[in-house]
Amino acid sequence: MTTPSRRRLMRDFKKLQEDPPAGVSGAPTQDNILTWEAIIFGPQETPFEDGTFKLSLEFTEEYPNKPPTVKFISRMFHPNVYADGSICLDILQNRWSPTYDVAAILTSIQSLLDEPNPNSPANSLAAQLYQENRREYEKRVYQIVEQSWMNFGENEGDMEPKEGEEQGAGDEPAAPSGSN
Amino acid sequence: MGVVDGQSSQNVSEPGAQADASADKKEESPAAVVPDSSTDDFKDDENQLQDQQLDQIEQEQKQLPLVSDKIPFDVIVMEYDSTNGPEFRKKAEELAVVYSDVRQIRGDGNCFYRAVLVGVTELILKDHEEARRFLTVCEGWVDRLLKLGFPDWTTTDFCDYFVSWVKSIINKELKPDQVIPGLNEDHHCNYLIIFLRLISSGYLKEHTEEYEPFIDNGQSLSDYCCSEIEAMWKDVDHLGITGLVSALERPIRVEYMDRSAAPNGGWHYDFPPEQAEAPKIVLLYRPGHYDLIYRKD
Repeated sequence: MTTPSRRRLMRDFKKLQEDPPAGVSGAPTQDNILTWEAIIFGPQETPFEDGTFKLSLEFTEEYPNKPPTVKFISRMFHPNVYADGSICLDILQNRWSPTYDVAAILTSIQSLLDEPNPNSPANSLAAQLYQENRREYEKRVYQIVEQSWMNFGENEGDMEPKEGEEQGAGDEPAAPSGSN
Repeated sequence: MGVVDGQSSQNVSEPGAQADASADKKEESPAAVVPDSSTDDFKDDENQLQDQQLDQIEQEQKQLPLVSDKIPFDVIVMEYDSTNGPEFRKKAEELAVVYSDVRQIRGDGNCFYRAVLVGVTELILKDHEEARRFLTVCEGWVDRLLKLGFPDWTTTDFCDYFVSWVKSIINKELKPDQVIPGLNEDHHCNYLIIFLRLISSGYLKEHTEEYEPFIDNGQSLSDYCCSEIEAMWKDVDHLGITGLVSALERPIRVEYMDRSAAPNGGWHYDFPPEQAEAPKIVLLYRPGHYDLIYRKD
């Protein structure tokens, strides 16, 4: 029998395909609906721009009562991301709501990239540089942006974004032009 | 449509689209959780230890059924004696005069919602007209929640799940004797519970002006609902009870073992208060926990 969590994950997947939010994508791995891989594109006009960051999402049968465990697989340099890729984000912990779906999780992490909370650092160096030496911070971020491309070459390609997808994402009608 | 409607995706700070609809809601940035003072690299041992303890408590809870069979109320009486709770023993004996049976509900933070779910389910199993009425109320909630700005995609799913479950009871697709035992299936039952939590929250949000003053610490009603009502495994409080019984349009009575816990300082309290008839669904409250109890015929 399909459990509500698996049913719900299929729904989440269907929505991601039919109505993809700008700049994120994700899919279950082939043999397990509870294990997903996702990609977040670094938001434009931020130091993370052009980064293609891979993440893993581990769900349990308790989803959506409990949030998944989400980690960056790509190397990340960010005040709220631990060295092992774990993310320090309220909605993945104490402010989780069963009404959040995979799309909502990914867009929240995407917006966290350029809106870190340096007061609760998971990476103290990143937090310190973010506050005290923005230029050096951005340099370090640019390094992991470059690394994110290299990692793509090495890995199996089924999650690889199509050429131009990133540009297209910015024109997504659901997202009104924020800056211009 | 997606949760990012009406917002630039770069600025989605809270995935719930509630932010869009409730105009008075403050924009919140994705606040990172404050970890313990030792920062850096890996989560510390203390957190891990706490996680282990929580896991252990969770495992212990899972030894008990979510919803027990109906058992004689005397079981409650026998839990107390002159050494561990003479007051409770006396009160339990008094209740045993009026109530014949109890269904014990697992104490996992959802016990209030689960007890009401079982109580309502038993009503609709017995009374076809009540079942139709209940179905109409539940069906109405999809639009009410969406109007409040709950995220469309997921909210609709919870509502559909609940409504089709009620329909399958009404059209006997589910065998009547399977319905209550079915509520012991964790994932199924908890999905139904989320619906109850959402509509409790929804009812309170529809009456923000009325209920916001009851929230401590200057927290907004919307934040309160998110952290206390919509979040699974959070114990209910007076507002949550009010929200649920109003949302379901179905009164309940709570019998208190400890009079100081009752809102009116009495031995029992009806939600909403001052019912003309004694509510059919009765819960027994013992500190921190609700069970479902049954009057003698």
